[in-house]
Amino acid sequence: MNAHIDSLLGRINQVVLGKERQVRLCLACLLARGHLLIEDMPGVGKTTLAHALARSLGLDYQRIQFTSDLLPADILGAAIYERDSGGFRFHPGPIFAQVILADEINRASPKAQSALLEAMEEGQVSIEGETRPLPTPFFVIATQNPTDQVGVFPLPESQLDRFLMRLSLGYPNPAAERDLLAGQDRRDLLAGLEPALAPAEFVAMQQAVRTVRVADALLDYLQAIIQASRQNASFAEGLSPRGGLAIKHAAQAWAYLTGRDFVQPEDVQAVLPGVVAHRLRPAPGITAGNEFWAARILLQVPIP
Amino acid sequence: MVRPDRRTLWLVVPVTLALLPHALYVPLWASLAVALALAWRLTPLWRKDSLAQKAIRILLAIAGVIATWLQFHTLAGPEAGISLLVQMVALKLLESDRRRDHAVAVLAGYFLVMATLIHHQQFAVAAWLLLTTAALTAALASSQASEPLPLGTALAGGGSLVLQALPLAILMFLLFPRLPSPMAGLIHVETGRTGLSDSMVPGSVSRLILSDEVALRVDFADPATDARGLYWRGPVLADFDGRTWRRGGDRATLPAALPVGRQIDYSITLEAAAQPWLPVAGLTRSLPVADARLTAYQEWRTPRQDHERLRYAVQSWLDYRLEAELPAWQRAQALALPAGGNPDSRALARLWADQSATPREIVDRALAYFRREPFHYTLNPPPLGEHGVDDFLFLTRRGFCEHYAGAFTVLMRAAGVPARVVTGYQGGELNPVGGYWIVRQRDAHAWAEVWLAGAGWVRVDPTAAVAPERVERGLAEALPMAERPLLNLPANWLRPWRQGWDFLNNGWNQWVLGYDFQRQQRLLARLSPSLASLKGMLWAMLAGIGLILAGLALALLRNADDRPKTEVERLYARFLQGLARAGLIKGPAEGPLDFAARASRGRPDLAGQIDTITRLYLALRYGGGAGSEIGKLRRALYIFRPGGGTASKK
Repeated sequence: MNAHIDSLLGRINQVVLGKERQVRLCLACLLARGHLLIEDMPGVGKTTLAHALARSLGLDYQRIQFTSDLLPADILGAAIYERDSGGFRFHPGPIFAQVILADEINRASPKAQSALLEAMEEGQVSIEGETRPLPTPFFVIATQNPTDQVGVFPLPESQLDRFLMRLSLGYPNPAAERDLLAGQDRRDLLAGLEPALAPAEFVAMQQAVRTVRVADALLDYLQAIIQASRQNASFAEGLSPRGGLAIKHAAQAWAYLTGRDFVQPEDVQAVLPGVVAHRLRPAPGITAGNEFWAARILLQVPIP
Repeated sequence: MVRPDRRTLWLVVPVTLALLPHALYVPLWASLAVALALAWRLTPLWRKDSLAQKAIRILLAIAGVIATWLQFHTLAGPEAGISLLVQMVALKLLESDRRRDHAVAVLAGYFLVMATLIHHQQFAVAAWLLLTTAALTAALASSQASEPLPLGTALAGGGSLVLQALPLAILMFLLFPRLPSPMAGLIHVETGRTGLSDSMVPGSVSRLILSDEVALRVDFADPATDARGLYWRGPVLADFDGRTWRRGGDRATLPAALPVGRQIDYSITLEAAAQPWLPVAGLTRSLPVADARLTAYQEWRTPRQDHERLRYAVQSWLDYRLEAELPAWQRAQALALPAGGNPDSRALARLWADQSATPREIVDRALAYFRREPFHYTLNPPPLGEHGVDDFLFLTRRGFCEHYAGAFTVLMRAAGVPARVVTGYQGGELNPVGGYWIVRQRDAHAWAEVWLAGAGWVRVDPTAAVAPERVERGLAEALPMAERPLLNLPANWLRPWRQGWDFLNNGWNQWVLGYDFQRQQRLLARLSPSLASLKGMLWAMLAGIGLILAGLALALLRNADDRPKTEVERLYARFLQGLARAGLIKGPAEGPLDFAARASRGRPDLAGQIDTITRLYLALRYGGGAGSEIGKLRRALYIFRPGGGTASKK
């Protein structure tokens, strides 16, 4: 299994240069059956990363470019009258795929956002009174621009909560940037990216992640973190129970990626900023946008 | 019946434990009333808010006060006060339901515990009270919790609180200034109900025989001494009215006594008794008991009619010459017989006197007579008629030591040999646990003393002539089989336990109850002369209390945030301590693996060990580590010696 993971990571890292840690976190997020939100400025490789992940996992995927005039039916699909048969026939939208790349999700109107986020939560869509299941596995890898840019509809907290992790990429380091400048076009590389896994293998990995052992001692640590988030004055409100579960699942996936069958405190610390940053609202007075900094406070919680 | 809920049980049971010892002496009606009240509280009949029941409770309280007044004619003083207290505590339970009431009930329980000590100070009672205190404390803890605590948790909490208080109690016990005289009047000193008496009628000693109570304990300087051959001399009975033997009148003179030969050293712990006699073996010239005095009959006694538990060291001579010259008043007294009565005995005695050349021969003839004729040693002698000695010597011939001693003395007096009866104890039982001898009331005995020219008063034990086993092997051996159950002797398998128990009690009596003003002074003076003053005691006590409290506070601080640690956690803590001494300190939020990496960089020489220990720890604490791995961790830590390392070499 480890060889699979290494080759998977290797392939993605060939395309997304110098972002090993973020790539690993993304993979952990998907292994923990969570949706992923990648937030950063335009042009740092968000879409490339999402693309590379979907391709190398060997899952079928659809890309939806969110725009301000996007309608829910553009995402979900619609029943259209067909003259030949004389009836309405359902044309599934791009959401009926295993991996959805929701590009620039915060450019769309809240109505369109909701259509996607409801599908993420339920694993099914209801169109014109009919409930249709989505394929499994089903992921949304969404990218968004920083909310202080022009022409965006920020996602409300309740919807941010649906994403297991929010990551940002940042500028590449000088060596990676050099390779990027000198190397091939990313689009060509993406096109040549071969799947490293069969779909069944990925599902088996997801199941194995859930069996990674979480000892009582680690639950003590998790609870200490959750308590700290609720008591610390830096946060307007603490982590929800769902947030706590998210840390646990992400840490299990992280432990699994390192080939261990139990979670240890470092696993929690590795995934913590990505999992909790978008769930914590900094208290008034703490500058907005400093969520990652705020999440670091939780890394100072003593390990029991 | 509905089972009472846990809260109620936590209220009633511990207070009942505190009430129980008082049932031993409060009036029976008070005990019954308390028992009924407690039972009522436990049944579903009890309603806190019922007006009718409130009225009943008020009536009960008034009735209790009146009944106590009628019984004692006062409401003050320990007797009446405690009787009233137990009733009121029971009534308090009847109206208790809230948390505050529970606290009041528990405090009343503590007070009951202390009140018990007014009447009982034995070891068993103290142990009971300690348990009761733990139970009360547990009840207090439970009543403060939002839910009644599980039994084990509450008891563990209560017990641990009592244990923490124990060092303080011991310190105060040792150092709290004691009064030169005990709290006279308040503390009720128990006195034995049985003991040697100033008079003897046939049957009076054999009643004593049925008592299992300890009369005295003897500790010999020479452990090889066998107490079974010794006679513990009590009151001397010289006056005979035909049926009853009584003490002769007291004289101001002292007996003329001359020690001969062997001397033994021992100490006696005499149990409290309602009689003044201080038994000793053989001839004793001085007794280290305040106000003890020697009578004209070579008896030792206290001036009062009763005494508390006494301990005295004695030097005795087993061979001695008492009254080489018999004073005239003693001779007259030791030959006096009531006019008339027991004609046959007198005739027999005169016959022996005619046939014998010396008084000693008369004595031998009498003893031979007892030995020869079919006399029986028994606890159930048949009743004797008007001429008691005649009936005994010629008709019934069944009797106990007082019969033999009495009859023998009458015979001697009739034959013209001065004689008197001596009572006391004979025999005893070795307690192998403590190496001391126990003499019980059961070992009470009566024997005779005859005065022989040149020898003085000589002890003669006619019982030994009839039943030598009595003197040699103890009472039980001398009795016929059928009568032995009368003695209530413990079963053989019980004996070691009884002896162990007696040893505990004896130690308690000696060292705890016997720790009085003098002993405290002596002990403290031995530690340091400045301690023995009032100021010294107070300072030492304050310092000790401060030390103990500081120690407890430190222990509490150390465990402040800690739930009980598992062995894995303790081992890892040791690992961290070792590295901390070498200058590598793990941050509180630093993961073990991160720390291991940092520590290995700091101490490359230890990298292998740090890695092994960290891996084992992680596997055990967070993984489902197998039991064998903890052994590996233990071994790894055993050889882990970071020492001062590079940090200290700097």
